[in-house]
Amino acid sequence: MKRVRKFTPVSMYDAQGLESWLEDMAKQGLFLKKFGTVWCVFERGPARPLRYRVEPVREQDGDDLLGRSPMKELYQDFGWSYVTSIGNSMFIFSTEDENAPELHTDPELQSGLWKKLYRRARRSFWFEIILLAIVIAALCAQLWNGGFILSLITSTTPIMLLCLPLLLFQLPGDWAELQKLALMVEQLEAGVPLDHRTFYPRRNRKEVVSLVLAVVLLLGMFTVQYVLPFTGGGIRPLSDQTAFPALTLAQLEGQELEDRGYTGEKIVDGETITVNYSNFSERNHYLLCWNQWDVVQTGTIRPDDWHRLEIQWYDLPLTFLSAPLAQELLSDAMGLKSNVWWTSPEEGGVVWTVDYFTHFDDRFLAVAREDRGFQIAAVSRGGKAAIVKYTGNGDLTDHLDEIMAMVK
Amino acid sequence: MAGREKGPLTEPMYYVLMSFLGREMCGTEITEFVERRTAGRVKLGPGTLYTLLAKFQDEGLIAETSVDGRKRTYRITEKGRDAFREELERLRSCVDDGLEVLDKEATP
Repeated sequence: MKRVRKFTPVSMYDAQGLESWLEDMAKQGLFLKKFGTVWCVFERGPARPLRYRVEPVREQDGDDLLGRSPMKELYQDFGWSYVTSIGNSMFIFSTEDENAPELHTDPELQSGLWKKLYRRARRSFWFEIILLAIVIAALCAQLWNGGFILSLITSTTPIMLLCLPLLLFQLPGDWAELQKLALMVEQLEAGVPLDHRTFYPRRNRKEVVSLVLAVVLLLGMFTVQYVLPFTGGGIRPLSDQTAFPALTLAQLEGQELEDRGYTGEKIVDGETITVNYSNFSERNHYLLCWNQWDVVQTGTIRPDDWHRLEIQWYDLPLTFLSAPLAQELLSDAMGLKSNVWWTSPEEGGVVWTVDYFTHFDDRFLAVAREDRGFQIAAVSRGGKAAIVKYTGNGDLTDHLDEIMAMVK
Repeated sequence: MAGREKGPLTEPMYYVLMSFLGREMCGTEITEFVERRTAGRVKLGPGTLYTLLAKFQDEGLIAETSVDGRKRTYRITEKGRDAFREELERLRSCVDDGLEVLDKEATP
């Protein structure tokens, strides 16, 4: 039998609209096989009139361990065949028998069934509101903590920004559906039976598309948040980094340093390898920056001193973001907003002196210095941006060419 | 023993519970009994019947006794009998009250 898919023109809670639509489909020779909130699957056959009824169900009305359902069996005794289910909340029955009795003869009793479903729909609606609030809160938190450009590049912010209008677009339609369901319950409670014939479609196709898109985006958001961070390969030796010519601690100090850092072991692909946590590189993948590197170098010249250089390097497909990113990274580092390694905020703040060397179009180069010797350089060119954080005896302004070379 | 705790029975509930007083019943037998007893005044659709049977089972007024193929048979419990008697008493007193008021109106 040939199967046909049709867009579902009514919401799953619009029982009367759904029954009317399915009956019209049967008259065209299309018989429901599977219900979906977006698409329904039909099987072609000789056109004939059928009556369809949508019934709310309780959990215990479904099939037992032996695959039997008292509800379906009783309905079958009266000429009504089970067709399919709508999630785990409703069953769809049909009959060809003109004499088969109407399913419900006591509207008040029937109202109890729909009231339970109404409460469930109301809970879903509130869940939607809570989800929206969570998305807004997460978005605010990301923007507040990370800076706008950095959040846009390295977090789920872009997906959330797309998700937000879609979820907002969804709300009025869902509220209207909920109100229709409430009116249906009121009608039954007043003892007025349901009219099984009604007009349709009653659903805006755009609402369905926005719902599907929102779900896809939310799934994408979880992937970006929880899967992407694990795809970069983790900590690796400095020599593995070949994406850009990184400024080295030896260049800044003018001599080789002794590595007296902390090392540990980790298992990669079943093999135990030694990891140097003081001198390493690490590649990260982000949604809007697939190629991002962290390079950390630490060393000593005398037993009592300690020098450290940290570079964060970004290769951005959206090239126009590189200069704003460099400025934001500089501003964040000076504001000690990020989890910087060299110091923590102090009473009265820290005073920085900033020298801007290049600042036009996509090119940006600035060096900031703080009294106690902490230095920062931010640089951008083309689609690349980097920030250098350094403590040591050298001077970043003496190495502007090497810093600029990192983003060539 | 106390009967049903959830207020008076509706007419379909009353007749469905009544149908079990004589013997055990399955779904189609119940509807036949009710239609015959009420001369077609009370009709029971399968949805209504199923909802009532599930409700009565949840409240312990009836219990399933056997499953033979698709045929499920139920019997009334002691609690169900008490609930029916209570409802009968309530209806009796409703009728008595009505008759008494009518009699008083008729007597000058």
